[in-house]
Formats: sequence, structure tokens, C-alpha cells
Amino acid sequence: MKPILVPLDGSKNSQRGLRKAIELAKPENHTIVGLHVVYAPPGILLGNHKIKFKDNLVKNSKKYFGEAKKICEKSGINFVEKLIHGSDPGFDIVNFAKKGKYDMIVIGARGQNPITRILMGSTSNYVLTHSKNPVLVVK
Amino acid sequence: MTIKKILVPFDDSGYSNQAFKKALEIARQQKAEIIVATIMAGKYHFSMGPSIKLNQKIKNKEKSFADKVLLKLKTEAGKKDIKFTPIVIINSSVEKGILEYSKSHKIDLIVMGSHGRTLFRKLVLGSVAYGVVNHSTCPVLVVK
Repeated sequence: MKPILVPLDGSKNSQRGLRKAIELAKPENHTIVGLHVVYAPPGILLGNHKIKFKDNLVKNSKKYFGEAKKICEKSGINFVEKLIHGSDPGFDIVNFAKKGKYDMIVIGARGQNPITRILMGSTSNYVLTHSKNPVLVVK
Repeated sequence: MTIKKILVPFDDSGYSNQAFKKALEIARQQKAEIIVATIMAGKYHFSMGPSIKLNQKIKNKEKSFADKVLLKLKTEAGKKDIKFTPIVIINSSVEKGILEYSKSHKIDLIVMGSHGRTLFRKLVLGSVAYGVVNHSTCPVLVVK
């Protein structure tokens, strides 16, 4: 069975996406691949500060993965965690999905950024338009 | 929060056929019901001129086409023992027709193709798919 790819960013919407993914994965026992993109905003931070900032982000991602793993284990589904370093989350998610064979990508409609568009986040919009896999947008 | 009703907006294009296949797969796994909707946007066309008769003729043609297509899908779903309901929605806007139906009938999941009949392949996402994804309140699976 092909695994389901779930990009996680610790927001409520991405958790809702994970729950939906579990629901879809349950009957056929798909594995769920949780993906987190670590990216530091360009400019501003330089040198040692940037390294510290990134370490902090990695630490945060461990928290998200821990939560996701707990939810998956409750319903008895395999959870694989993938952490990638990148620059633009949308681009990195699409690139990552290209490399492996995934049944579908389950993504929340809005992520961490509250000020972009009201209807859909920029990352989910990018993934929806550019990926070759089916994309499930969870509201 | 289980998936019981899956709505598949259908227009007999390649993408929507793909979407239907995916919907069948999900329905089989979740033991859900599939609702296939064809939307008849019976809008007034400039090329028709002021002829009501011709308008009616085109409508009838569309209706018979929809019935034919839905019958074909019904046999396909019947083979796999999936509950199948065909419906024809008449609404001037395709997007609004889909959204209103999904709201009033409590649809749990919409499965649709990324593009429809228009030949703008360069567009990254079809206009109807884009509208439905942005405005719907239920999860939408876009199949490419």
C-alpha cells in the first residue's frame, strides 16, 4: 500500500488534516509519513544566531512529531517522521512528494501564517497547484 | 467524523474519470455512498440568438447526455457493490451548484478532477476546482 503524506507545521489545521488522514488510512493500513520543513526566514539572522534559531526550530519539530505519533499510535497506524531543511515549504513539500510514491497528500487549508489569504494559505495553495499527486485539502 | 457520503462532480472529462476511480477506491475502503452529480448550467448562450426553441433543444441534448453518462458509471459502481446515487443539478453556476448541494446534503468529502472540459491546460488549476476548494466547508480531494 502506498503511504499517505501529511505535511505538519504544528498548527490546528494540520492536526485536523492528520486526523482525516488517519481516517482514510485505517481500513487498508496505509503508513502515514509526517513531513516537517525547517526553514529560517532569509536576511535578518546571520552566523551564530541563525544556527541557534534553526536548532530551536528542530526542537519544535520534535514536539510536533511526538504529538502526531501519539495520535497515530492510538489508532494503530504506522507513523514515519521526515524532517527536511529547506527554504520554501511549499516547494520543498512538492519536491519531496515527487521523490517517493504517495497515495495522496493531506494538507490543512491554513497553516501558521494568519495574515495571508482568508480562504487558503499560501503553502497549501502552492502544493495544490503544483503537485502531481492527488491533494486533499482539509478545512 | 467518518466519511459516509462522497460527492463526485462529473463532466465526462479525463480528469473527472480519474476522480471517479479514486472515489470508488475510497468508497470501497470506507464503505461510503457515492453521489455523482452532473451540473447543467443551462445558461443563455450568445450564439443561440433569441430562439427559445433552440435553447430547449440544447437543454434536452444536455439532459440526455447526462443520463447516458450516469448510467455508464452506475454499472461500473454496481460491479463493486458500492451504493450509487446519480443526480442532475440545474444551476446557472457550476461552482455554486456543487457548493450548495454539498452544504444542504451534508457531504463528507468532495472528490473532483483538477481540470474540466476547457482546454486551458496551462492553467495550474481549473476554475471550478479552484472555486470549490476555496469556498467549500468540507474536505476536497483534487485528483490530477
